[in-house]
Amino acid sequence: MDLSYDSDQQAIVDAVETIMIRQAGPTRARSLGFGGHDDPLLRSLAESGFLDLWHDETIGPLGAVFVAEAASRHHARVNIAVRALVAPAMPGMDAPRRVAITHRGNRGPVRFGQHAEVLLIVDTDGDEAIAASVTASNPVDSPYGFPYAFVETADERRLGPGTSERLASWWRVAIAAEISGALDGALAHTVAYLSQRTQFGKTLGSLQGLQHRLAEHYVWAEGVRQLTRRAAYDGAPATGAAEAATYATQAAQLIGADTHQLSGAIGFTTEFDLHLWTTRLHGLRVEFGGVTAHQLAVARAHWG
Amino acid sequence: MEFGWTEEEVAYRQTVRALADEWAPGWRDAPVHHHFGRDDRDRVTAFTHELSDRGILTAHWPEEYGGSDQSPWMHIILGEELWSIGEPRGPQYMSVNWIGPAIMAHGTEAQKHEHLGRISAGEAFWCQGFSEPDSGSDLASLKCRAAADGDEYVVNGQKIWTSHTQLAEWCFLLVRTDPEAEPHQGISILLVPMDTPGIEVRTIANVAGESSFAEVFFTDVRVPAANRLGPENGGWDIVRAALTYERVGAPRWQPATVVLDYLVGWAKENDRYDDPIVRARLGEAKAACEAARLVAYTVVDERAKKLPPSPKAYVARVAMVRGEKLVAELALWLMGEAGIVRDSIAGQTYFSTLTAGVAAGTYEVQLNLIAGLVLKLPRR
Repeated sequence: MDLSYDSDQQAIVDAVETIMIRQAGPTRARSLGFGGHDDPLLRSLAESGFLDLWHDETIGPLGAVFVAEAASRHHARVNIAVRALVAPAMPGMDAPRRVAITHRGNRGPVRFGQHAEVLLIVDTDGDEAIAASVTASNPVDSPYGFPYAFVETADERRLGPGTSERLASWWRVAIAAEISGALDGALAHTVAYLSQRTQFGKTLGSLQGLQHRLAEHYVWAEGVRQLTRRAAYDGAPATGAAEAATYATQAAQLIGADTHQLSGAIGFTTEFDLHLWTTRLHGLRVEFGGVTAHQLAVARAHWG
Repeated sequence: MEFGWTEEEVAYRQTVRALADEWAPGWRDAPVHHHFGRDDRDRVTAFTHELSDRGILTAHWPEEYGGSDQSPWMHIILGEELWSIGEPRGPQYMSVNWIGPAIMAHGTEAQKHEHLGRISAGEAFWCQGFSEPDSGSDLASLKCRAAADGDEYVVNGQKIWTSHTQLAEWCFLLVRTDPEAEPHQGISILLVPMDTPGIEVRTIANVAGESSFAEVFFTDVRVPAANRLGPENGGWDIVRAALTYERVGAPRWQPATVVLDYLVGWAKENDRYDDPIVRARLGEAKAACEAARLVAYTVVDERAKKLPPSPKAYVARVAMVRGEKLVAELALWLMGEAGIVRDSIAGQTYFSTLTAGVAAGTYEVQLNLIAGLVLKLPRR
C-alpha cells in the first residue's frame, strides 16, 4: 500500500488541474448556466487522453477518479466522470465522448441527458446493462447544478451477463468521485470566507463552534476521498463502491447544507460561488436511489 | 498510489489470525471488550512471549532493538487481527506501539538496554501517567511536581484515568520540573517503577462496569534522575509525538467491524434483517468503519515513509470515534430491550464506546487541532 501519488499519477493530477484552471472554473460555469455543456473543455480533455485513462495500464481507473474529482472541484460542465470512469468498464463498448447514465425505474430526468449520444442503463431487475442511442431529449429546468433532461432512446444493446451490477458499482464510484471534488471546493471556499469575515469584533472562523463543524466536514471529505480511490483501485467491488457512495452521499447532504448555514446570507446568493458546488452535491446525492439505496447495497454486498 | 496488500502482508495476516484463534478459541465468535486484571498476567504474557518468539510482537522495530525492520503496515495488520478478537496482548499493545519507540528515539543507552529488550520479549507492562484531576484536555497544565534533589527527583502529585495499573510495572509519567516556565516548557518525562515507595493506586469504577481506570497518588516518590526520558523540561514534544501514535495505535475500526458482523447475525436470527431500515443502518455503519480504516491508513502510510507525525492522526481519530459510536448506537437500537443485558453485545459495547471520544485526547481536542493545523482557521 502506498497512499502518495506516483510520478505518473502526479503528472495526471497536475495536467488536469492545469486544464481545469484554464478552461473551467466559476466564471465559465456561470456563462454556460446549469443547462449548458462545455464542448471545448470536453474536446481538450479528449485530446489530452483523459477520457481513455481507464484502460491505460500505468494509470487505470484511479487516474479517471483524479480527473473526475478535479472536474467537479472546478465546476466543469462535462459528464467526464461517467465517460472516463464508468463507460470504459463496459466490455466491448466503444463509447462516444458524450455519455449519460440512468437506471430502470428512474422517474426523474437524466443528468446530461440532453447532451448525450449514448445512454447507459442499469437494469436493476436484470443481469445485463444496456446501452442505447439517445434520439430525443426534453431538458428540464432544475436548480441542481447540472443539465438534466428526459430522454428518448432507440437501438438498445445488451452488454452481457454481469454488466448491470458492474455498471451500478462503477456509477457509485463516479458519484462518490464527483462528490469528493465538490466537497473539497465547497469546504475550501467556506473556510476562506470564514477566515476573513468579521462579526462581533472577531473573525467568524476563530469561533470554536464553527471551527468544530468545519473540522468534522473535513474528516467526512477525507473519508470520501479515501473510500472512493480505494474502490476505484480495487476495480469497483460491490462492497467498496457502495461504501464510497454511502459515505459520500451522507457527506454531501451534511456539507451541502451546512456550508450555506456557516456562510450566512451571502451564501444563498448566486454571486457567491458556494452554490456552484452545493447545488451539484444535492443533485448527486439523490442520484441512483440516493443514500438509502447505497446503504442497502452495502448490506447486500457484505451480508446478503 | 495503490491500495493493495503484498503477498507477504497477506500471509502475515493469516499467520497472526491463526495464532490468535489458537490462543483465544471462540473469542472471534463472541466479540466482547476484554479487560485484563492481575490474574490475567500469565495468560497475556504467554501469548506475547509466543508472538515475540515468532518475531511478530515488535516486527516493525529496528533490528538493533529486537525487531526485524518490517514496515508499519505489518504492525497495523497485527493490531487489526488482535483487536478483532479482544486484544490478547492486553496493555502490551501500548508498549510496542509508542512507549518503546519513544524510548528508542529519546532514551539513554541504559534506558534502551533496560526497557526495549523486555518490551520486545513480551514481558513489559506499562501504564501512562498523563491526566490529572485538573488537567484533562488541557494536559500541558499538569501540576504533578518532580523536584530535583541531588541525582534524584522527588515526585508529589496525582494522576487519574490511568489504565492498566493492575498489571503495570512501569509508568510513563509526565511531571512538571519547572513550575515557573510556560506550561508546555516545564514538563519532563520520568520512567517510574510502579513498586516505588510512595505510589498508591486506587481503582475507579466506571459506567461500563469495568475497573480498568485508576487514580495514582505520588507522595515523596524518589525517582533517579537517570530515569528521565529526554531533556529536562523537554518532555512535551516527546509526548506530543507519542500521542500521535497512541491516537491510531489501537485500530478501533476493527472490533467495531466485528461487532457489526455479529449484529448482522443477531438480526438474521431474530427476523430483523429483512427490515430495510435495519439493513440501511448496518450499511451506514459499515461504510463509516471502512472510512475510519482508510483514513487511519494515511497515518500508517506516513510512518511507512518515515515522515514526521502530521495532523492526519487527528483526522483519523475523529473518523474512528465516529465509526465506533455509530456501531455502538446501532447495537443498542437494533437489540432494543435484549441489549439491556450486560453480557449482550450492546451491553458490552455501548458504554465502553463512550470512552472512545475521550481517551487519547477528546474528540473536541482533535477537532481543535484539525481546525488550527489542517484548515488553518484563525485564532482570533
